[in-house]
Amino acid sequence: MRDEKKITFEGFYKDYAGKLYGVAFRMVNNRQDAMDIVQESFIRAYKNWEKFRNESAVSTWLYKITLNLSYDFLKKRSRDGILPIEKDFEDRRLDISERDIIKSDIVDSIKKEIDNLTPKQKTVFILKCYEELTYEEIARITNSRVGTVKATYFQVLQKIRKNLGGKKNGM
Amino acid sequence: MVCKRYERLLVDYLAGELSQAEQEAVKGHLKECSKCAGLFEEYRNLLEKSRQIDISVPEWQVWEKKLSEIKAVHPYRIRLLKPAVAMVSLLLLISVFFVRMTDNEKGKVARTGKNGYGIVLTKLPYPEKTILENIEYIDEESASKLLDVVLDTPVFTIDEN
Repeated sequence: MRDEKKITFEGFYKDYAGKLYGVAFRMVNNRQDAMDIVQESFIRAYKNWEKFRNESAVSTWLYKITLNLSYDFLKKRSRDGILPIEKDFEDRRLDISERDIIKSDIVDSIKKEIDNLTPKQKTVFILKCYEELTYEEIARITNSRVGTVKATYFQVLQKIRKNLGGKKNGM
Repeated sequence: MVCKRYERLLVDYLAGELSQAEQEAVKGHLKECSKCAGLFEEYRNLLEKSRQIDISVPEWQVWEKKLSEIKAVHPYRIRLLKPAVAMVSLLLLISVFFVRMTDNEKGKVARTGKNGYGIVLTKLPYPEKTILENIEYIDEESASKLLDVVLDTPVFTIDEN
């Protein structure tokens, strides 16, 4: 029984570690901090593993934990007056250029726009655009109404599109 | 001018959140309205480009190492029983306890010579314990009656010397 449970946790970890890293990284914009957040999320999940009844419950719970830890991290960073570290992003650009992949200006501009979103807006955008969750799932994770999630997602897309200047920027 | 009521629908359409009927309505409208079709392309491109932002997820080996660290933090987990299982387990435990007690610690009555019959019993798990412990010496008939009723234990005699 213990082994069966262990396998289930590992299977879940294998499926979700990368996903949660994506969420955490997009929230805090730093590789090491994102890793720490994911690790802490899974430690909490491991401790509470017996309480979860199905994958959906675990994933919702883990998304919540990851996001809450990210919010806490952002608050702390803001309180301490530490600016978001762009080093990781610069490093990745270097790696990409080494791999001869050309990153378009528009992608960089979109990234900056996403970084400027409020944590709540960013959450909805990340969960919808990258995690491809439904409005209903996002509402469950963020403890909001489906209508609020829907409206937020629309406002975010509209805002980014307007700030990028629409077709002038090749959109 | 973009048709206002369609702008939100375009976003929901790209989000895969429309019903079949709504999707058909949007598709039909896009064929007829070039401005909405242009806006639709803008949103579609925006999402496509957003997904091109690279985040370089660490390799599995990194996560594998982290996994052992996660387990090391909390190596001993206490298995929490579901309420129903816990209740059955508790009842079984109580039953075993009582059976064991009645088998091993049945009361005994001994003839003690000049004092007649005495209760040798010292421990019992039920209320009768009090009665038995309080009656130190009783006559043979009472002792037999009491033991028949309470414990169904044979009366035996011992030599006080």
